[in-house]
Amino acid sequence: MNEQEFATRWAEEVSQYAAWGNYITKHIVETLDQRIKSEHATFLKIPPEPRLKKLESLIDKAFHRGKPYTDPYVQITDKVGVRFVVLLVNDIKFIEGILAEWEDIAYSKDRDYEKERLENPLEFTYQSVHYVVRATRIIEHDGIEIAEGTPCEIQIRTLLQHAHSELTHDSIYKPAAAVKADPSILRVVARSMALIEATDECFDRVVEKLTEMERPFRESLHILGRLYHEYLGRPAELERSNTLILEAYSDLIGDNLEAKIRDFIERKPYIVAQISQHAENSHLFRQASTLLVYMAASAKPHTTKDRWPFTTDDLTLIYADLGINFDAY
Amino acid sequence: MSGMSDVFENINIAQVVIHEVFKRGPNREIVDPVFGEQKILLDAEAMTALRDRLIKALGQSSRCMEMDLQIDGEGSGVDLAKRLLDAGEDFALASREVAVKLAGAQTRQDLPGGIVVVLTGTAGVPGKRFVCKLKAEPHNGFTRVAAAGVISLQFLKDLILTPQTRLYKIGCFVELDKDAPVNTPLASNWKAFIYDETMSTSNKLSAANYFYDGFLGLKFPQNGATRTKEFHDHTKDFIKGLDISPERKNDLLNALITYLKVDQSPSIQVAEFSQTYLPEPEIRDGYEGFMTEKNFPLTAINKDLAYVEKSLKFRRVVFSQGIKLTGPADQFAEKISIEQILGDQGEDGAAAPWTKIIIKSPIQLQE
Repeated sequence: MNEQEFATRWAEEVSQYAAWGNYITKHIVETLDQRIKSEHATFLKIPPEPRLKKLESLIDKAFHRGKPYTDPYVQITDKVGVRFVVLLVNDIKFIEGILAEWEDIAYSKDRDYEKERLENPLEFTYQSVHYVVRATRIIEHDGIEIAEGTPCEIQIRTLLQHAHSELTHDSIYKPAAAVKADPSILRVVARSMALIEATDECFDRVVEKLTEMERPFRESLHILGRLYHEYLGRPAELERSNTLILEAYSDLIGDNLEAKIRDFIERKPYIVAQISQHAENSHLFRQASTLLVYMAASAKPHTTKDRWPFTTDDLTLIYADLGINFDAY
Repeated sequence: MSGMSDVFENINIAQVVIHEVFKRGPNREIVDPVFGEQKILLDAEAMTALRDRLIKALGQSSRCMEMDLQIDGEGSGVDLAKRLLDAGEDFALASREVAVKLAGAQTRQDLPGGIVVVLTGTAGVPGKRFVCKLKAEPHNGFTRVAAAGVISLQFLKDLILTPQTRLYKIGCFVELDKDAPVNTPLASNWKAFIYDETMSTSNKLSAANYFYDGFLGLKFPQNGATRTKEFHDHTKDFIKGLDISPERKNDLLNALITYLKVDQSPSIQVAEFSQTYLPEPEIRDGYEGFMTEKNFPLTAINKDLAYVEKSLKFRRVVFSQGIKLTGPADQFAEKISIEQILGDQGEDGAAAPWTKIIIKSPIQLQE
């Protein structure tokens, strides 16, 4: 295949590659949407946009860089590519998981920095996960038929890896001989990669620790949300104020939160109707933790008032529902 | 937990009527009340505010006091309450009797007029029916009015039921069993409560007492002395059981004596003691929980020191090996300071807890 033939075929198939890139991006974004709901907006740090290689770059890569291609059109697998940038190393695995269970594609790991690290433990260099993803069947998207086997390159990186790559990729990995020959530049680049690797690891640990710390809160909130839904017949809101309330009364929760709440409501069934009525006008009463506030106010009115994290209007209502003179506390 | 403390949870107000009574005329003659013709419909916000007033006056840890029935025959306060609950459509008409009775009971000429609010509703779990007879004395204040972009003040002369608690009094009758047999004595099927910050439990002739006495037909419970002793004993037990330093314990035991003996207030109340002497909310909650468990009410009790006089005379601190320190309670706090210090090391290497006592007096006599 010569340059002319390459260019002709690319012109015929370019829209197919564009559709393929869109199809893959759409699938991953939508799957993230379902899996992590509201948090997805911040999960991808840069909006993923599939990019087609320009014809000039393709020709350059196929015929003018001394690469040992026998069939360059087929062997160049990044004619279309899309990049996913996430915060954490663990987030990379999340996207890999989505690829692994997707039946429309077959994929191969083209570049795996974790493997590269093991192979060259003394080297700190460009890190990113690259996949070549191919259609396992004929797929129709955007009104275009995508041939089986059409490749697309997917890169998955952390923000820090991305930053490093933005800084160095063009100049170092496709470099002029002079740059490559200057060991002091390579040394600084390697050092910054080493820092990034260390920092990425720290980030993962930070998130693990935070998750561990939040676990009791999440569990309590989950129970409260479920009970709220059951008693009120409507889903509870789980806004941030819930965390402040749980934090304020965490030592009053103890074990068996669910049994305690159930017992409390059995003794004071009227609070369900009261919450329902207040929920019309007041944000607090739509939150799952409202149930906890009623229980705390009933059992420990002094402590509950003392630690109340917001202005007292709503709390006054709760005390009044319970028949407690707010002013005496 | 089901005691006195949650009588007024889950308040639902059903019917409200108001009338107006007046100060007596120049010759102490009754001026006829003006009657409200029908039940008042309040919007949700007003209803919430009205419920708030009731709970501040009657709810858990309010200053309300449970009373005994003085009279329960026909035309008595409790009899009228019962008839009001059963009046149905005639409620507004029947409630006029409340205003007439109040006007009659205000025998002194200097007693101000006011608005009489009669309301019925349910409270508690399951809901028990109640009747409140409330007198609200008008006072004045300001409201801001905005007209044509200018804000100014308007003087209001007839404000009632503002959070100014001294300006209303409430008598409340709660029916225990709606389906009690007809011949059940009223005294065993009704509880009566009163909220009146101006009344005096010690001076039976006090001007403010027309409200509970002549108007509502109530009297102070006979168990004041027993209740006061219970308050003293339980509170003392609670303080002794606290995990605090001996110095603080000493201070709190002195405070209990001060509260009962020195404080001139005619009533005692758990919340009042804790708000005055127990700074930590956790200890306050512990104290209330302790008292509630002992079935002691969180509302006010008329103070009667008859049974505690002796306990209030002396304070006593006991050490090991028969060493005791006693003194008159009213001197104890002032003249004696007690402090825990670290003593000699024992065999286990830890310092023994010793006590340093300072008595601000020379020795008078040694034997």
